[in-house]
Amino acid sequence: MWRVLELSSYPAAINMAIDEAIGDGVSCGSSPPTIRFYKWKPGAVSIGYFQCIMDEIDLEACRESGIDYVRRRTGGGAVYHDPDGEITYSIIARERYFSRDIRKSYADICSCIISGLRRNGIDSEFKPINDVLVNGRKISGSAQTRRNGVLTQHGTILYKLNRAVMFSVLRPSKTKLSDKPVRSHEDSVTCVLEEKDVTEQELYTSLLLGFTEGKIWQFGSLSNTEWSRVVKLSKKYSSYEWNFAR
Amino acid sequence: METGRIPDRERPVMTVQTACMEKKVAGGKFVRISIYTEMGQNKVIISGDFFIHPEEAIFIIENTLSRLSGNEADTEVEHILEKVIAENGAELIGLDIPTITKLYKGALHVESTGAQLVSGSH
Repeated sequence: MWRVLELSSYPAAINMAIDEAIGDGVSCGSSPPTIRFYKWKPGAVSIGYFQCIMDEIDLEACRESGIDYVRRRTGGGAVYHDPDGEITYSIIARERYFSRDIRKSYADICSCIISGLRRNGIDSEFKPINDVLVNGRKISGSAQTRRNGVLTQHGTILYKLNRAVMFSVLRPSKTKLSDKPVRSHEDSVTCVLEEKDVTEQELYTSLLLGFTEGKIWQFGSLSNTEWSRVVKLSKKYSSYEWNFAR
Repeated sequence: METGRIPDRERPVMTVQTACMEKKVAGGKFVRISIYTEMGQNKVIISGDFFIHPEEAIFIIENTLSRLSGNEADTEVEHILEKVIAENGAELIGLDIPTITKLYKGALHVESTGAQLVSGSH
C-alpha cells in the first residue's frame, strides 16, 4: 500500500534529506512506497547533481533575499522554489513499480501531474525528457534517480510566479534557449494562476488525486527511524562539501 | 543544524580554469565542459542539467577525459567513452558521446591556442 505524506514545509536541506531517507527505507524494506507533497520554507534554489553552483546561482542575491540553496542528488536544472509559489512532489518506490525505460518512466509519472492539472481545467502536455508544458511554456519539471533498486523522482508544479525573484537568483545561460521557441527565460515558464483562477488548496487536491489514481493508498507520516536518518542526511545537504562539490 | 546558512567562503582556488565550451543538445540538455589545470595536470569537469544513471558515472567519464593526451582523434575519444560507459552500465539522458567529445576537443583547442577563456555556444 502506498503512503501519502501530506503537504508540509521544510528548509531545503531537510526536504532533500527526507526524500533520501525515504529512499533508504524503501531500499531496506522498512518504508512503504511513498508519495510526498512539500514546500520550501524559507524559499530556496535547488541545483541539479551535475551543475556547478557558482554557474547557476547568484549567491549574493540569495543572501540579500534570505533564500536558501541546496544541491539535489538528482540531475536536471536549477529551480527556484518560492515558499508560496509552487507544490513539490516526490514519488519513491522500488524500481519494479515503474518502467525500466527511464524516459518512459518520466512520461508515466508526469502523467499524474497532467491528470491533476486537467482536474483544474488546465490542458498540459508532457515534453520529453522531464517537463510538463502549457501552451509551450513550462509549468512543471522533474528529476529522477535510481539507486539501490529504488526510484526517486521529485519535481515542482508552479502555482504562482514571481519572475523578478526567480531570475534574480537564477543565472540561466542564454545557450539553453537555443532550441526553444521563446525569446527569454522569463517567457519560457508559466504557472497555474496564469492559466486558471484556482486556489493552492484546489491544486493540491487535484495533484493528490492525480498521483493516487489507481493506487491503493493511505495518509501516513515519517517513522522515527526515517526522522533519525533525516537528521543525519540534512547535515550532508547543508554542507559546503556537498553543495559546492562541482 | 546549519540549514539555511549561506557560507561566506566560495570555491577554493586550488585549480585554474583554462577553457570551457558549452552547448544545448537539440532535444536534450545543456552541457558545459570546463578544463582546469591542477598541479600541472588537466582536469575535465562536465556540468549541466543533463542526467546520467548512475550519477557517479560522471566521475569515471571526467577522469577518463582528464587522462587523455588530447591528441586522440574524435573517433578515438568517442570509442574510449563508449567503452567506459558500457563497462560501467551508465546511461546518458539529455546528452550524448559525440557532444561530450566535440566540447572536450573544442575546449582543448581553446586551451592549446592560448586564446582567452571562451564560454560560448558550440
